Amino acid sequence: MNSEKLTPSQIFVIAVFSILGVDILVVPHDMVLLADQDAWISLLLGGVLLFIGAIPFLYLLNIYPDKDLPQIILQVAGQWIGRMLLFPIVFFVIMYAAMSTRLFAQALKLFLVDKTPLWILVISLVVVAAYMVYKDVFTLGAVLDILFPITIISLIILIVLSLQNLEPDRIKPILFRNTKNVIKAIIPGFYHFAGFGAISYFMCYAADRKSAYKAYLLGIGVPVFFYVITTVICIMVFGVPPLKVIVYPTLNLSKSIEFEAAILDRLESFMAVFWISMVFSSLAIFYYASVRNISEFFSIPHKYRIYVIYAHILILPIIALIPSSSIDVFELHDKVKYIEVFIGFVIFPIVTAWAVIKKKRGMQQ
Amino acid sequence: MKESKLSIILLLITISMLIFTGCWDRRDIEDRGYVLGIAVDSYTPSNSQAKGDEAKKEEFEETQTAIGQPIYEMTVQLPIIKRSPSLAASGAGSSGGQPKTWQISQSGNAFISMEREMESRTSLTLYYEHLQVLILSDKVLKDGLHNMIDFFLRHREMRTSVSLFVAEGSAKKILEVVPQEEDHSSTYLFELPINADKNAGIAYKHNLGEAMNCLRSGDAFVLPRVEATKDEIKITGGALIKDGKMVGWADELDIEVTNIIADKYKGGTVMGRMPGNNEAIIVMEVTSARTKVVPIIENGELRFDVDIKMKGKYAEQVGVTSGGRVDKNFIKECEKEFAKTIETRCKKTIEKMQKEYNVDVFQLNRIVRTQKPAYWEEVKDDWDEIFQNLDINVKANVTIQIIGVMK
Repeated sequence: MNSEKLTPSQIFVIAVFSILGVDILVVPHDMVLLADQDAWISLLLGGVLLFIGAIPFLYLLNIYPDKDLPQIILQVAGQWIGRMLLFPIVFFVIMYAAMSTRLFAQALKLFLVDKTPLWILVISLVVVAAYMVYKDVFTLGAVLDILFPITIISLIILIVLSLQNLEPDRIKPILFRNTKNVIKAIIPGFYHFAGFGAISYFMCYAADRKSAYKAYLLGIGVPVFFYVITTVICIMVFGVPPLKVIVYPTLNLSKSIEFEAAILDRLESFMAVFWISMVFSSLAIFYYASVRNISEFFSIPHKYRIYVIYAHILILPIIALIPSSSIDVFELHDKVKYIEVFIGFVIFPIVTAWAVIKKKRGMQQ
Repeated sequence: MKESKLSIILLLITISMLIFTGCWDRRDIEDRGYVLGIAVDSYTPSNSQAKGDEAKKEEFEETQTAIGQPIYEMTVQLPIIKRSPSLAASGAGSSGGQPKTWQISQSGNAFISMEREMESRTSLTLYYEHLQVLILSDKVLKDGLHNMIDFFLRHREMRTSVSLFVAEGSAKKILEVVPQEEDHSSTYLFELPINADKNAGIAYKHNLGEAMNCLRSGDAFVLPRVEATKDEIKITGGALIKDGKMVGWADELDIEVTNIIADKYKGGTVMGRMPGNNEAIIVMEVTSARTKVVPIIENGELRFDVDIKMKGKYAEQVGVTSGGRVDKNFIKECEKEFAKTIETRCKKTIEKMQKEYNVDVFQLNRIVRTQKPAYWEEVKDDWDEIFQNLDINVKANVTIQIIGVMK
C-alpha cells in the first residue's frame, strides 16, 4: 500500500464535494414543487436522515479499515452474492457521474456558451477528470483541497449579495396545512444528498481514522447547510409560484443581483467559477469510484487500471448524451436517485449486518 | 526514452493547437449589436401615402407571419458605436448632429421571429446582455402583459433587472428621444429612477424579475409610466396591472401612497398648511419612513391597521417671512399637520383603488396570505369583493428632527 495518506482536511473536502454537486443548481426548484414554501424544512429533515444513514455506514467502514467499498462487499458477501449486491452500486455511480456531467453541460450551454456542441462540453470535462483519476487519490485530494475555498467563497458571495433582494415574508406561512407535503418531500430531499457513500472509496487512505470520521461528519453537514440556505434564499427572492417554473433558480439568482454602480455587472460569469469547479470535483470523485467499482467487479488487476480509466472516457459521454432533451435528463436524473435510496437503506444495512455477524463468529471461533 | 517523451510533448502541442484555436461561441465585440432598449407597440397596419425610401422602409418592417396575423411591433435601439463620444474625443469619429442610435422596428406576432427578421436588416448580431429598458405601450398592456412577456423571461441573455416602463400611446417614441445629457435614450430612462430617494412619485417595483414574480403569484402591481418630448423623458405616475392586464392609470400621489404602504418609501416631501396661518404652506423633507401593516380579524371581519412613522426635516415655509416662529409648540403643531396630510392622502388613494379600480395594488392579499393563512383559505376566491369593502385605518406619526439653519 502507498505510504501517502489523506489528511483529515482532504477527507472533509471529499465528503463535501461528493454531495455538493450539480444539484445545487436545481434544488430550490425541485423542492418547492413538492412542498411549497416549506421546502427547506423537508430538506433539513432529509439532512437529518443523511446523518442517520451515515452512521451504520461508518461502522461498516470501521470493521474493514484498509479496504474500500467494493472490496468490503466482495469480502463480506462472497464472490457471487457480493457481485449481485455490488451491481446496483456500479450502475448508480456511473449513471450519477454521467447525469451530473450532462446537467452541467446543459446549464453551461444555456447560460454561457450557446453554440458550442454539448458533446464537446461533456468530453472536455470527462477528459480532465480522467487525468486526475489517473493521478490517483492523493492528487485528487490535493486538487479538491485547492478548489474548495474558491467554490465556497463564491457561493457565500452569491448568498450575501442576494440578501438585498430578500423579502422574508415570502417564506410564510410556515407549516400551515402543509405538513403532509413536507413529510412526503423528505425522501426526495434526501435524494439531493445522494453521493454521501462516496467517502467509502477514500476512507481506507485516511491518515488518522478518528479525525477522519469527524471530518466526514462535518463535511456532509456543509452541503446540507448550503442546500437549505440556497433554498430559503431562493424562496425569499423569487417567491413560490415563480420558483415552480424557473429551471435553474441558483443561476437565475446570480442574474437577478444588480448593483447601482456598473462594477461587477455580469455576476453570473463570475459565479460560473463556483459551479463549474463544484461539478468537476464531484465528477472526479464519482469517476474514481466508478473505476474502482468496475475494477473490482470484473477482478481487473491494478496494473490494467489505466484501461478502465480509458474505457470511462468513452462510456461516460455516451451515457451522458443518451437523453435527447433536457426534460429527459431531469427525469433520468431523478430516477437514478431512487437507486441511491435503495442502496442507502437496503444494501448498506444488509452488508453492515452481515459484516457484524461475520465478525462476531470470527471472535467466537 | 528522452526523445520519445519529447516527441509526445510535441505531438500534444500540435494537437492542442489544432483543437483549441477558438470556441464555437466566439464573436468579435464589434460584430455584436448591443440592444439597449426595446419598445413594444401594438401593430397597426400602415396606410400612409409615403413614397420611395419611406415606403420601402415600411415594407421592410412587415414580417411575413406563418401563422396568425401580426399583433405587435417591436423596436430595438442599437447604439452606433463609431459615433460614440469616447471615439469622438480621440478624433476618430465626430457625431456632428448625426443620430447616435439606430432604432429598428419590426412587426409580427412572435418576438423571436421579429428578432430574426431584424437580423436580416443589420450586419450585427443582436445581443441582449446589456438591455436596460423595456417600454410597453398601454395598448399592449391592456391586451395583457402576461400574454407577451414570455420571450423576455425565457431568453437567456435578458437580465431580470431590465426596467419596465409604460408609455401612453406610442412606446417607440420614447426610444426616439434624443436626450440632452446622456448619449442614448435607453440609458437616460434607465437612470431616471435613481432619484427615487428624493422623489417618491416613482414606482419602486419595476423590473422584469419583479413583474414575473407578481404575474405568477397573481398579485396586482404598478409599472412606472413615462412621457416624452423631443429631448426629455419624465416619469409620471404609473399603470395599474391586475391579473396581467392594465386596468388604469395612477397619478404620482397615488404612487407615493403605494410606496408608503409597501414600506418602500425612500424619501420625498410632505406639504401642509402652516398652523395659525392658513395662507402659508409648510414643507417637510422626509428622511426616513417605516410602515407597518397589521391585519386584524374581529368577529370574522378583516380590517387593516396601517401605522406610518416618518421622520424628517422642517424644510421650507412659503407665503410668510422667513424665520422667527419655530419653537417647541410650533413644531408639535406642524407634526400634527403633516400627519394629517399624510393620512388624508393615503385615504384618498386607498378609496380610489378600492372603489374606482378595485385593484389591490398594496398587495394586501399577500399580507393576509402569509400572516392569516387560515382566513385566506376561506376568502381567497372572493378577495376582489372583500378588498373593495375592506376597512383600512391609516395612522401617521411624524417626528421633526432637524429644523435647518434658522429658527
